Amino acid sequence: MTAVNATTQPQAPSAQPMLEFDNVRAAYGSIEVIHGASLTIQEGSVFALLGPNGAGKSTMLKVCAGLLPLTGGEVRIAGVPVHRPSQVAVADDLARRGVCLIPEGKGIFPNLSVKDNLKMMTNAGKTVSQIEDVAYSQFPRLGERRRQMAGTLSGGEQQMLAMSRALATDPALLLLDELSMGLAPIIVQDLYQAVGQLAKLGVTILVVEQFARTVLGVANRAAIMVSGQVSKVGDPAELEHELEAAYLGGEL
Amino acid sequence: MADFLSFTVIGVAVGAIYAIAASGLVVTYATSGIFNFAHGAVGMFAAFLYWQFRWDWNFPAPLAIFLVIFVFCPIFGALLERFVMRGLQNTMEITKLVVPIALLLLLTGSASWIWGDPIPETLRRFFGPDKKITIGDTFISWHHIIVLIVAVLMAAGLYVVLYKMRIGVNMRAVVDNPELTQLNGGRPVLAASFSWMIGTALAGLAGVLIGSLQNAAINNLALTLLIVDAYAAAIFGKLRSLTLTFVGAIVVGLSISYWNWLSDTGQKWTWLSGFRISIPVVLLVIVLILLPHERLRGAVVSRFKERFSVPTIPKAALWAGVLVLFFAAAVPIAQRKPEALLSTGLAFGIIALSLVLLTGYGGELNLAPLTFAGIGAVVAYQFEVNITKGHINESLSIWGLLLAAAVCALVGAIIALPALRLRGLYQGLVTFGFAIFVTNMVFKQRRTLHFNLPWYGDGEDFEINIFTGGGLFVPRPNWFGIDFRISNSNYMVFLAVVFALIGLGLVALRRSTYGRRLAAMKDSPAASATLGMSLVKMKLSVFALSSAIAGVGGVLYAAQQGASDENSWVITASLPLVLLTVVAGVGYVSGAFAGGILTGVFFVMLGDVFLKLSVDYSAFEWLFTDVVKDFFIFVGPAFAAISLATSPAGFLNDMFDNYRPLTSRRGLPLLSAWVVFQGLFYLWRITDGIGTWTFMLVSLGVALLLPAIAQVIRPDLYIDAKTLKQRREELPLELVGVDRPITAQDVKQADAALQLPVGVSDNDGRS
Repeated sequence: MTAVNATTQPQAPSAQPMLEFDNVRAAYGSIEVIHGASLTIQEGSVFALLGPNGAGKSTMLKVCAGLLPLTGGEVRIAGVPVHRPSQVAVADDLARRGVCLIPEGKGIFPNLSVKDNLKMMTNAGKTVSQIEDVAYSQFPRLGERRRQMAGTLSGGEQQMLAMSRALATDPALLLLDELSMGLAPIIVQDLYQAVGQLAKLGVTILVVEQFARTVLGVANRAAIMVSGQVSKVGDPAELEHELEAAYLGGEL
Repeated sequence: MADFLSFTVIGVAVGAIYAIAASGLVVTYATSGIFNFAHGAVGMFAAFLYWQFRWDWNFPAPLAIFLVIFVFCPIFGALLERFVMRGLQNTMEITKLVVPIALLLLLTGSASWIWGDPIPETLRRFFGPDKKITIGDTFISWHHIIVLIVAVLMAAGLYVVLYKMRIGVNMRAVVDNPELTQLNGGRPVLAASFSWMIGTALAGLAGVLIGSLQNAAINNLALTLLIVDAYAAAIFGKLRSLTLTFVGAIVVGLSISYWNWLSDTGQKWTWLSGFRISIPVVLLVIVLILLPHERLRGAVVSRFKERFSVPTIPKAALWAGVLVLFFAAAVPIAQRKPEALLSTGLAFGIIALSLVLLTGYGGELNLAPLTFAGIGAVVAYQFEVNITKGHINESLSIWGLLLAAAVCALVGAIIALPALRLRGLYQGLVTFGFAIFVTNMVFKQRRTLHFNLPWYGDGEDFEINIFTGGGLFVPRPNWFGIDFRISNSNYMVFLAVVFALIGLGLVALRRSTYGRRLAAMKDSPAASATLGMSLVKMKLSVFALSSAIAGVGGVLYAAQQGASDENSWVITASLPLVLLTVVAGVGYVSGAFAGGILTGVFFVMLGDVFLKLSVDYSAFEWLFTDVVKDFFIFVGPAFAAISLATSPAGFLNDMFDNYRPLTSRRGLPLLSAWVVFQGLFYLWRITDGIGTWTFMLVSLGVALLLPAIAQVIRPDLYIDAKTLKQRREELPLELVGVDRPITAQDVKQADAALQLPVGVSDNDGRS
């Protein structure tokens, strides 16, 4: 898996697939929630995965990051199979190799200080000072609160802290889950600005989002998921019209 | 002044040892969410091992210390994490509490098993007992100085590891969110393993230091409890803050030392002599009551919660009858010793019934039922002695029994007061601390206390001798024209009747409004309170009632034993009973019965079987007596308890599930056939056709094999039972769609129920 190396060189979207879901099935206990979903995400692209609640979008990210074993199919990163039912890569290994999932809600440790939160990111290879430089220059408010417990930050600041990991650890593949959850539109705008920056650096990004309009502005490819299956893949502009039907539960 | 200085130094040194022990506890709790009740026992075991290396095999001290603290303890900690603690994630809180307790018993039992109990040898202080330095006119021993140096080094080291090194940040992050730790590239398993290695090493270090400090013969239980004293410090740090833990530890150490100073090392106020060793638990309880617990772990209603079904009253009455009949039938067969054992088991069962009410029905926790039992026994004893002015009554009066129950109820209500605000672990610790306090202050009380009560007698003092000469003599009753004093058989049947009646009462109580309120309180205290229920009243009453039951059990147990000493009521005797009752199923009356029998009979009997084998095969005597028999007696209960994780509702319920089909109408012929067979077989035994052993073995074998036989003869009974069981485990309708998505099957069922024509809704459930 040396193929997944972090890169900071700006790149144009190339034809190389970075992440492939091949007929993936996944279940919570005995209840299957993803029924054979396939997706291909090109290297350097920003891919938006949209769809109503309970469609299995977040589950796709969990499977990809190694938090949930799949029950069928295969996930390939940079052409190398990493997850199969018989053999699942572990989340911490993947994280060290440049797969970065910012989970839904607050992806921070509430009982650790801001600085300790940043220190946790050193597991992926960077030094503390490198990470602090990036985080504090991007989000100066975090610098003012470095000694504070992360749980006492405001919702927006917490999401900034979580987002710092995506910015500071140089991931090769970034998975973002509901970045906007419970936040004011202006903060969401800030966060997506950061996503745009990363995209310019050539990081492959898979975004799951309810705030469809915001994300479609950043994405250059999108898919709609309904009931555990990918129902439509296309350009963001194309899909914008289909969204309404998907969210309201009508036929596509 | 010189005294003050030396007592301060000693206090700080003892506090430093507590700090070492307590920080180990905090490290493991903070990284795994498991309060390691066995922490003290680990320290004890390490101290014993150190004795083995240092004084039995005469290794040099540095080598012995290295082997114990840096080799044995970390390895043991890593194994513990891998094979015991890791399995406890996502289990019920009671399981998280009970398994470490089982480990405590396992370690104390193993120490007895390996080294005998207690080791008559002494763990000596470093550089000998008399090496000391003099500052002015203050003496300080080298051992104390070493302790202080070690504690400071340990604190610095721990600070660096936890706050400066990445592994430490990882360890603290795991508690907050293990998944996110992984997403950050941290390895939770490694962090957990490392923290258990550190925690165990710290326990070992504390054990060696405090064991040597005693300069006296080391006793496994005493040493375990000595380190348990550090729990107060850990709670003072809210099981999180190492700084507060250190402060708490020093406070505990100084309190003990200054008490020694004030009381002339126990010369003054002799009736308070037990207070010195009680100081830590008194502080523990005070801290528990005063500290706000904003982050109570595990108070969340879990989805994995065990579900106990409640039998109907006629069914319970039937079982009560069967139980009494069983013991009545045993009378002609059983000899003196099994009778005594069974009676002990029944008495334990009655005490365990208090747990069924408190924990099984009410969801509250008491780790020390035998403490209440002991209080009951003391009250009954005092009553029988004092009403006759020094001459013990010849038989237990009903008033003695009732008074014991009443006093226990009162004490139980008092204990419920701090427990009102606490749940789970903290409640367990309160009862744990209370047990140690009562043991030290009451059960070990040897003094005659004089009280000048104005209304009593003609100016003479009221004298009370709580535990004269270390023995309690509670007479057996002589009621209903039946003398239970001479005949063990009568008394055994009497105990069975009492058990059956209390058990029946509990079932009736559970089915009453009060019982439903209890169940509601157990499921969700918050929801019950918002519905307008008074939690205070509920908790007070359930604690009082359960303590009263324990008290009655205690009186009857003491009467069964004839004479009992303080060891019958100590916390380490309580723990196996709690453990085995929980394992058998604390939500059922049958669980109390099995818990009592397991505690009082089963492991002793198993031991006896091997004792008999050793007589028959004398060549293997060493194996059967010293190894196998002692194994069952010392560590058997602990092993049984560790199995708990597999069957949270208790193994007894799982066993009963196999018998249930037999009680259905179609299974009745088979059941009656078995009853007739057993009756005839019994007659054969009575008429001396066969021996007791044959009878017991065959009867037990047939009873255990009954479900298997039935499955072969009447498989249809079991197919129904399987679907029935499935149906019972199915989600309630209102949770479909919440706990799992709606399936096409659900839609079809709903359509059928609503009598909608086919085709109104499509297969995907969308209409």
